Amino acid sequence: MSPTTPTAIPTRASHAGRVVRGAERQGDLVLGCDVVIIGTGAGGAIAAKVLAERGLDVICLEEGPHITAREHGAMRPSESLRHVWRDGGMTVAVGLGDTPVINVTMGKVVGGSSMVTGGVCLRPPEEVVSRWVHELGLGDLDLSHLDRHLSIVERLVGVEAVPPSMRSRAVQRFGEGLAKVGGELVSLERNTHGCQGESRCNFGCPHQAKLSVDLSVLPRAVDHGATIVSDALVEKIRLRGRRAVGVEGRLGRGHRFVVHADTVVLAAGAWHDPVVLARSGIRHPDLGRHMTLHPSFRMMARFDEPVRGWEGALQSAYSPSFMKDGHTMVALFVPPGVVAGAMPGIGPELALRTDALQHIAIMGGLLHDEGGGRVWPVPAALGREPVVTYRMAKADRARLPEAVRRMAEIYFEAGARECFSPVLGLGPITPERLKTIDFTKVPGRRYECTSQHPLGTCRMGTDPKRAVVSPEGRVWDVAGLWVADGSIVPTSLGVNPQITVMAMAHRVAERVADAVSSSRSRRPLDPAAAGSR
Amino acid sequence: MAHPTSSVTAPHLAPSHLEPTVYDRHAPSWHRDAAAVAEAVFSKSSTSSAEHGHETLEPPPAARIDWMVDDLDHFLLSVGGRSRFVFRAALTTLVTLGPVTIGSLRPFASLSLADRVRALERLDQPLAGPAALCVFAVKTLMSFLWFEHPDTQVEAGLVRGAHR
Ligand SMILES: Cc1cc2nc3c(=O)[nH]c(=O)nc-3n(C[C@H](O)[C@H](O)[C@H](O)COP(=O)(O)OP(=O)(O)OC[C@H]3O[C@@H](n4cnc5c(N)ncnc54)[C@H](O)[C@@H]3O)c2cc1C
Repeated sequence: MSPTTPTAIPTRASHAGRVVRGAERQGDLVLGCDVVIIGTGAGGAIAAKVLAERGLDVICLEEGPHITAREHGAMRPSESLRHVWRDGGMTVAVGLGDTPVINVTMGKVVGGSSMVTGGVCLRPPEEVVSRWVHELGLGDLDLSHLDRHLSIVERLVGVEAVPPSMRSRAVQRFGEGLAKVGGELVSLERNTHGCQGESRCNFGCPHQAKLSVDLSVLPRAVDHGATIVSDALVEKIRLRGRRAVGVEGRLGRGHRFVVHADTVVLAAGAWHDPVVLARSGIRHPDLGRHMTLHPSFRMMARFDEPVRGWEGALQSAYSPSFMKDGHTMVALFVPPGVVAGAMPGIGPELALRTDALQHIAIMGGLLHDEGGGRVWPVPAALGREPVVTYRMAKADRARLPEAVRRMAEIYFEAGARECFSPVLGLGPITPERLKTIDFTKVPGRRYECTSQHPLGTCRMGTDPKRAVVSPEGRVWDVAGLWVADGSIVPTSLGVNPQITVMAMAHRVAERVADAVSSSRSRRPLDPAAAGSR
Repeated sequence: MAHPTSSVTAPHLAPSHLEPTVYDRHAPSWHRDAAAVAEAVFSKSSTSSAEHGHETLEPPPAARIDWMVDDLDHFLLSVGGRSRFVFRAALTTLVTLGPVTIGSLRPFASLSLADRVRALERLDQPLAGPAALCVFAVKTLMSFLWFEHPDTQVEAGLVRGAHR
């Protein structure tokens, strides 16, 4: 792993004046700048920082609200869910064929999904990058080139290894089970500083110890003059012929805004980039296709001893031992309410299980999937959110029962009394019962499935007919339009993606800066807008 | 049995600018249905009945149900229209199909607690198809809020971390 010492983090106060709350603004807004960035998540934040540091006039537009880390950390988890997560965490991809309905979660806030991550920071696996280079011809993405970008973003967001002392008893049990089946438990790396093991990284850290981009990256962009406008939904990119000339959209209270800029960087995430592009009149046969999700399945286990899964870091260790079989396993904990909701039973039967919450351990299995997802933008009159479908590839579908069985076996090897599988309505599983269950016969729709990692809907590639963006990150055939977020990742990663997304955004942003610097043209600010900046 | 109740409504700790601009609460009938489902989901065997060898059901404290349903109302008003629609549809499915599964034509909320538990259990079976998904969705969101109640946390031994 590369150097990971966290660098100093600028103070929050230093950028307070430069975040404009779009929802509080009265009247329409017209702005001008060198580069307008759509979205302030992992990709958009990095792009903003790079471009602002290069002296460009940058405006970032974010659909979600601006919430400080302190405010977020003070909320109840369900308040985070309702105010920080998109759709209260209830977004779904509709499963086609023998595929489960997939609950796909995202952040909708200044800081994007970075605000709700578990903090896990993993580099893209070598085999994956090698495939990009050798099969997809993306030579510039080889690890020797990518390494610089990875190292920079890791330093920026303060990646550190989680010490074994931050493992709950539940995680230790997972490790014991793994050892018995020949697997290995490896410490995770996370973007934290001063973590006190509150185990609520997904819902706002009470100590602001998770260095999501709102704390680690955006303040640097703002310190270099970038402006962030929250509650600003970009509806379309303005084009003049085949050239981007700005964006337009709607502020929280319904007022309109226009931002004039010769360079537009799209970083609205893989779920929404295709919507923005399609509504701007940009057509491409692959736009919105090939979405990978890392479909994930949880397994819960009850032990005789209290394992108190919520103690220590929310995600402290994982097992890469089964990556060759197409899945990665991570020990984790989710709020007790979510654990309870996933337990079998109603009334007394449920109570019996929830009374034992302290005895429950949880792991997640994540499939290294092929891109079976598709974003279908709907007409604007039907709302802003797309319909998303996902058809699980045959190979992935075949791996799913294998992964689920293996997770249960690991827990039983560790001494679990019973397991609660992700199969709806299956009830508790004992070691004896496990022998009688044929998971291959369980229809896809009965699996409870989640995803936190939508990627690849504007994938990068060398062939303009088969890829939406060029290897540099430009939208093919549209001058001044770039994409710098998870949607350009060419294939599934098999590991948590934020570091890869940031590194790729960093690489694209450097290309954008070079391109803009060589043809820099500033527009005067609209006088009406100046007051708001 | 006396239950300690910390507050009447869930504390809103988020900054006020995040509050929904239109706070259009659900109709009383919706509150009644949601409470009827929640009572069934979080009911327990009564301690005295267990001692005497026969099973009766004890509903959770009414104040805690009110706390949760009120917060659920706020939750749904804070999230996007599509999620609101999906949750309402799931709840409607449960209260509409629930009585049918136990051969009753009475409204769900007027069924006895034992019948409501039985009805939801039937819908939670694999054979119930998408209705099982509705049970899962409703149970998950209700549980999320339920376990934020301070008294529930104390009872479940959740004293630190994600459970504050
Ligand atoms: C619950 C959860 C846990 C996760 N945990 C981890 C983890 O531990 N480790 C890890 O590596 N990854 C994790 N991830 C994934 C990681 O957060 C994402 O891969 C990463 O943030 C993607 O970056 P992005 O820039 O592509 O999109 P995002 O970070 O989602 O940012 C996109 C932003 O664009 C905004 N936007 C969308 N449309 C518009 C529009 N039209 N106008 C204006 N703004 C718009 C959105 O509101 C959002 O803020 C997690 C994700 C979730 C949801």
